[in-house]
Amino acid sequence: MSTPLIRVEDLSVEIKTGRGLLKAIRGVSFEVGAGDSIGIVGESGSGKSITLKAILGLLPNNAQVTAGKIFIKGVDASTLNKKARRALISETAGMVFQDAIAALNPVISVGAQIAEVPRFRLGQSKSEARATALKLMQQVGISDGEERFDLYPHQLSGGLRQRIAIAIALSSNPQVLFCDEPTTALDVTIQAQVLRLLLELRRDSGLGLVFVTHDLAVVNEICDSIKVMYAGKFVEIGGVDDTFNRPTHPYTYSLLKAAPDPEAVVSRLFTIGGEAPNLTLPVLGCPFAPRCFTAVAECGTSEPELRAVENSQSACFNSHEHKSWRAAEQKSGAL
Amino acid sequence: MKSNKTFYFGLTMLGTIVLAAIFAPLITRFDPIEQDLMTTLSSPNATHWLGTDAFGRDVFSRIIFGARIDLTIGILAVLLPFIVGVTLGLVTGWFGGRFDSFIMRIVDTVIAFPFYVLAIALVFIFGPGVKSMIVAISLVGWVAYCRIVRANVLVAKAQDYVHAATLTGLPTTRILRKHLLPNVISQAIVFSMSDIVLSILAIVSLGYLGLGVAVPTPEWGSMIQEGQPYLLQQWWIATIPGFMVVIVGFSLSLIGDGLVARLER
Amino acid sequence: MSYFTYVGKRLIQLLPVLFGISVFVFTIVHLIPGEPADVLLGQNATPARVAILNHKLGIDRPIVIQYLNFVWDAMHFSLGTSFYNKESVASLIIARLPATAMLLSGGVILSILIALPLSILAASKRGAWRDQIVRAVPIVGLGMPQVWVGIMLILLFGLKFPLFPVSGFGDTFTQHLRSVFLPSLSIAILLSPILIRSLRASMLEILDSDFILTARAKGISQTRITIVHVLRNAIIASVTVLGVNIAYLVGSTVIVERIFVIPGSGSLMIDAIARRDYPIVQGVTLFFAIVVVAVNLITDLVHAALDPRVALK
Repeated sequence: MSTPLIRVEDLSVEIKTGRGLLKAIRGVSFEVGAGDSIGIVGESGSGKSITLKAILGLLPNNAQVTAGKIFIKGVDASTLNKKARRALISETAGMVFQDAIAALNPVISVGAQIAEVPRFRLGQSKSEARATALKLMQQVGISDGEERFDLYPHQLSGGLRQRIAIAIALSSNPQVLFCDEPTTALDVTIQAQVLRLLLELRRDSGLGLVFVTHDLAVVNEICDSIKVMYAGKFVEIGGVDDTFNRPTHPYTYSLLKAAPDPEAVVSRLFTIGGEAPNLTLPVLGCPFAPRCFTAVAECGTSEPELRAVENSQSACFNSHEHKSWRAAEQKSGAL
Repeated sequence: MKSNKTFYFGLTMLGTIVLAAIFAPLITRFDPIEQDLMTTLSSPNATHWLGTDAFGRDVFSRIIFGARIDLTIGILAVLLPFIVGVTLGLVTGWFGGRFDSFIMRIVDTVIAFPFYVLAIALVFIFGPGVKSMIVAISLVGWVAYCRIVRANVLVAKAQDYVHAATLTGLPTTRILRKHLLPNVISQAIVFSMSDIVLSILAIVSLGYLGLGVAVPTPEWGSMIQEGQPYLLQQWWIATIPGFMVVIVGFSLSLIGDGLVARLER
Repeated sequence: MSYFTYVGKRLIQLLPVLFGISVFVFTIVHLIPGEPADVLLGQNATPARVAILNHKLGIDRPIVIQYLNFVWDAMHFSLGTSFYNKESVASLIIARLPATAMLLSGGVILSILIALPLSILAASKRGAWRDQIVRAVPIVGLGMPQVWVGIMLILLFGLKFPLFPVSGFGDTFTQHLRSVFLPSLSIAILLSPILIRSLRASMLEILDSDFILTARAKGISQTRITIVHVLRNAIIASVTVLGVNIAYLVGSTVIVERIFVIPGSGSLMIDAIARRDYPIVQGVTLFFAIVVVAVNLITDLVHAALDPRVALK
């Protein structure tokens, strides 16, 4: 097996906040190989966006990687200086943000923003960079690139802006695209178009996808495997089919139950009872226990680690009982 | 936490100066106006803590008596525009319409004039002196309060608590006073802290230009002007009154920042 | 909306302000207690002479006619003649213009040279000690009287270390430059805290924005990010802040010219006040107001040209 493009080992990130040190990520490990499509799912605050930003070296000043290693194409990122690291990561992974209007510089034309990497990093001449940018625009489904090249972000529709943002992410020829809820801010029909574009990119050029979202339907649509994140840790890892049909963690189970229709392209944001734990405080026991319908005494005292359950991995002491959850949950009347 | 400490630090500094101004006659035994031509331009010494000026007047005594004038006018020149500006801001923001446009055009006009040019022109019209200065600074100053409050009223008007109050059929004056005012006034109060600094700066500047308080009366601006010729040898005569303004301004800044922190809580 | 529509709209918005300004400046003379004739004729004021003079000054005509005459004259740069030396007010202002213009531009340039690097320094590492220090600058700076800053500069760089002239404007261009350095610096010392306060805030906003993350994710060098992505947005912010503070800036030249004895438009006004020379006070007041309005207009137009979002609103 070849070296994975990105390998994360036991990554931990802490954020300094007004109310103390927040343990945003508490030991997360995973790999992204060429052509993979991975969905990372969780509520807001679960640490999914921070995970992406930590890998890309885009953490805000108040956040810090406190443990773990990140390997980019087999190279330990911590051994590289800032510049070399940035160069390596940007030719490996591109990033698409949730809100394209914020992710695009308001005072630079969109064409120039796409052409920036070809021109100033890949050393192309001005006309070459322009041609590259137009090709990228074509690739993300903007046919009249010549006309749009000199427009500014605010002059484009939301869908076009997100396409531009994807073109920018592709401009450094990455093998993986990190997508941080790229469709949440868009209308239903535009969402579907952008997702279709990402699927096409994956199919046509073998682009890997790491897709962070709280929309399960989107994961079902475009990912092969899913990682469910809760309180800064993965609580369930598995193939999309396995996990959607046979969730082995009660959190995943609740998520799927709260989502109206996992087959629909678009679903409402899910809600489940209770609140996520405050990660500025030490975590005692399973962080999901207070909201769990199947919690037992043990859950309150020690935190479960990921372990294999059938084809998936789950961080739950009761994961082997997952087939009886429907009955258990109905009995307890929780939710 | 930290802003609390600086808030009290500012309050203490300003309080000390205010107390010194109030009890000025008890602190110094020299009359700030009395000339003593035998001891002109003396250096700081045990008798005259900050030396004497060209007329042999005690500089320390003139500075603390000067604080009376500068602080009093500074505060008076903020009080009037505060009341007028807040009221106009409430009314224009709430009712809108022609009156609002009319007032806003006046506001635009006042803003178009450089503050000092307008203040100087107004003092010229009314003749130099304390009253003219207060009137001149007030005529310019209300604009800021009017804009701040009006902007806040426009935002608050769209809030549900105001809708709710309107629906109960309460008289408009009561809605404005009881529901709107407490919500829109905090920014104006915070601004008034820096506005006091601005008006003291204006008084000092006008005093320096010879358009302010009439001469023998101790006032920081005119002290700077009188001390300027002796800058090289007797630097303290001109620089210390200015330094007093810096301290007052610094204290009010700290108090203002502390107020922001308190009001945001 | 095109840029030209925006310019047109902005010009129309000026009309009520210009009207307000002209009314106020016109009123100055009428608000002053006592008749201009008393000032002009002094001891020689006899009823007959006053009547003749009033007729000559146009004071005996209806007030609306007087106002219209005033506006008409002002539009033709005819601002009357000085009571004191019978010179045309307009030519007096023009003669004093270079000094004031140099002082103003010097103040603006030095302010930007001080404020922009400090704001970048502070915002690039939020909360660090260098940020704390830069944040303290406005707290102290905003309370400093212009006159005090002026005499401190005179004391330090004019008297203790005589590097620059402390008064006058000189005769040659080089002398002019040397003469306006300290006055410009004294303006910059008071203007830059205001700039720093707003610039630091807008820099933080820019640095926190996702488009900077996009640029970083692209692998663009830090230098290029700072110069192209941050600075361009920051300069737009500075232009706006400068525009907002132009009135303050123009006003402070009046005081600075007095401190450093620079023969500019501001000292023309102060001298005229001492002589109760109404036409000059009136003319300079009008002139300064027009300058502020014009600069505001220019900054808005520059802002709209630099920031593609403005014209669309």
